[in-house]
Amino acid sequence: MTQEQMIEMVKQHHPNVSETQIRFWLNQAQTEFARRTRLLEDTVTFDTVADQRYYTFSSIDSRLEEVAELWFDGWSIARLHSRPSKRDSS
Amino acid sequence: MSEKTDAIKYAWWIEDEKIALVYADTSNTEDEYSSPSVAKTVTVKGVFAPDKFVSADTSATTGEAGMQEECTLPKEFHDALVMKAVQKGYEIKPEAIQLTSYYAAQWEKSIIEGKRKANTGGLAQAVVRLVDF
Repeated sequence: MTQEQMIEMVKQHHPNVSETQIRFWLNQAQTEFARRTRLLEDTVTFDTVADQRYYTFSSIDSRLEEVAELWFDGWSIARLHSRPSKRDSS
Repeated sequence: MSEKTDAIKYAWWIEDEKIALVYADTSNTEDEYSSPSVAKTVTVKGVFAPDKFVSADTSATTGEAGMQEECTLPKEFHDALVMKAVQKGYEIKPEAIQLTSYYAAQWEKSIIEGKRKANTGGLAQAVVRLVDF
């Protein structure tokens, strides 16, 4: 179903509500649905920079919400459950 | 890096919505992790937000969906989004506020179905998946 079709269906119940308002509700709905169900799984790749430790989710993909698995140069690598005791902010 | 023995020296973790990548430096005695000195390609599997609906007829922008484009959620849940928007509409109409409970209940049923679909991972039966909160 396209966005236009969704808006038309909502307008059958609420003909006086603006398209902008309905779009806002639809965006709220799909965001809540995706967050609560964790239904939209996907993979994305990015290139690292030498000597850089941290990569923000938003710099990798603006839609990335949670990370489940990671491969470095094709290899599945170990996940630490907390950061090492020695701090490095690079 | 092409050997598995090298790969196991790398590690990652999540901190404040950032991915941290480190190399376990075994050349010293402090069990120290350093930032990787090599640039490589990283593949991430994760949970993504849906493409945001925008007013344009079509949208080539990543993360956005125009009027003629479909929602990124599976088709069977598109009706649920409509029902949620209909519910929101009744919430601002005092004379029809009693209708909201019906649509809210339908929405929660769809959420349960969505979780069920996500947890099966495409298999015919449910699988147990570890999730770190």
